[in-house]
Amino acid sequence: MPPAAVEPRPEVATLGEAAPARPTLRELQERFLAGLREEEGGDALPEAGAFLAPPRGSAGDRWRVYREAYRLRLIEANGNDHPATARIVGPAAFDRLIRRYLAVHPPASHDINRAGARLAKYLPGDPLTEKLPFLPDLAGFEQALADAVVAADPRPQTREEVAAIDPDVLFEGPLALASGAAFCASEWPLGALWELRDQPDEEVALAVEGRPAQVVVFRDGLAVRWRDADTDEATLLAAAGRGENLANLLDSGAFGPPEEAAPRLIVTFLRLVESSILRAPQPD
Amino acid sequence: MTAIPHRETTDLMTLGCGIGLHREHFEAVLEGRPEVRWFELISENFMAEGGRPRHVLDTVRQQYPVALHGVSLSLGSDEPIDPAYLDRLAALVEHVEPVIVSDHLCWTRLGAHNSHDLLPLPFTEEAVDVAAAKIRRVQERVGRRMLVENVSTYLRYRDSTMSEWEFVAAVAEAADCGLLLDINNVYVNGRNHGFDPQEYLDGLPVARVGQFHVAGHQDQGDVILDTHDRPVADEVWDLFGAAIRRFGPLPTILERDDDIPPLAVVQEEAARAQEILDAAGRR
Repeated sequence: MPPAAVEPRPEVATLGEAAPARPTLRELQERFLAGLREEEGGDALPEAGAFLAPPRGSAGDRWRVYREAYRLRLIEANGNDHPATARIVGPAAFDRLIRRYLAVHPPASHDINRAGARLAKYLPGDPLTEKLPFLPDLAGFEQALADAVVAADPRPQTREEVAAIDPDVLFEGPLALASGAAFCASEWPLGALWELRDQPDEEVALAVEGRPAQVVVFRDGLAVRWRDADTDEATLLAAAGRGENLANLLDSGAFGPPEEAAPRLIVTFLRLVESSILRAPQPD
Repeated sequence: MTAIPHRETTDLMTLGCGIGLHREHFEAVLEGRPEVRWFELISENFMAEGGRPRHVLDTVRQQYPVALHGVSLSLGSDEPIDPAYLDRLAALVEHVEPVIVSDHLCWTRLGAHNSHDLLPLPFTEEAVDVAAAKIRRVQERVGRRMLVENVSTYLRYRDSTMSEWEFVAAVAEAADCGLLLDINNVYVNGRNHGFDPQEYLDGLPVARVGQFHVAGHQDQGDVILDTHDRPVADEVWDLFGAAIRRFGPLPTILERDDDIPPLAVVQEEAARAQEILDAAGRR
């Protein structure tokens, strides 16, 4: 038979002294979360006597179960969406990186799988990036792949559908990426870095200087795919990112002299639309 | 959002023992249509707008009864529920038409920080009021009664003014909600905080309990961790039997959420729970 329940003991005020005020629920919760977040000095709550002594062990030890579980769970979630980053920097460094990241960007979303959504934005200021300058772009690429998994299913558009769009709408309407699609331009070899995620330790080594990449992420049914974008595709995709339209691109000269530009642009545009990478502009 | 075609109405008392649906078993479930009585899904994992998660959800729901079990309502946080999240939950409930909707009697977030852990509440009147108000709000929004689950904890607050079972019962009464009784969590908390699990069961109102969970844990000596990463312990099976004697052979989910073995292993353990439920039903 286990021992009887440990009952909480009410505060007893001595003569002339007021009993300390009980913290409100919100105050307790704020201090609890602050204790989880803080790398240093996170033991304030148990040290202030907020918890009863357990039957075995100490309140401090039990408190550290929550602190460690908080970090381990989020390190694992970040590793799931950034496997190449985790592999390249190694488990100990990744652990420390995510702890630093969480201190600045504690998770906000209801979805734990979004915990790493700000990692790419965080990395430029992290000391690890001084040694591995490709990390921010790699993390951005990995996040694009993760986002594509759960994106709304893109509806494929055929060239017949595109041909039926009013030319004014087609050429003047803003270009847009299809659901689940992303364009990642980098001075680093993103695809080759991504492939390192499954490599054994002795093969995690790569020459990265002077190997820029322009890659596109997209959905192919339920599958997520990525490939290198050719020069014309990259020009179109970058323009879509800036909210430009086909008319802007024709005028820009980016697709060659006027007699070549239109067919070259249209062929590239249709290829990207049919692949569910771009959405053709629609009438309002 | 239109609901997917609804299977025949399920009598909850015929559900028996089901299992949690995990990524590791997606292929086996989608391709093999294994014998499973019902599935419990983590709501947040299937709130995506599309892609593979939505495909899995829709396919499974067409073939099996499904419960939605959330981890992010944060019913005990002293702040309003995120309305955008509640809308997404309501849309998911409308789409899936689950047999049960549930979440946990705990807190996970405050403001812009979500801990993604099921954090302990102090057992106070203030916490009862906060949780009950939020549960009522959720039930009003999703248009049905929900079940709230007792969580495993490793700490007790000095400022608690009642026992855990008194707290759980008070919340259920104030919110007019049901209870998802996690048998393993009762056992774990009994060991971690020094109380008799039978006293816990006896302290809950029979009519409020609508479902059971059973799961495994890790005994680390000074503390028992609710890890869901190993088979159910014999003591928990015994407590499960005691719970059935008090509350009846209720719908049960066998939880195996970590170090997940092949589906057949999980099914085998669920079958043991089913034998216990069937034996009770024959009495």
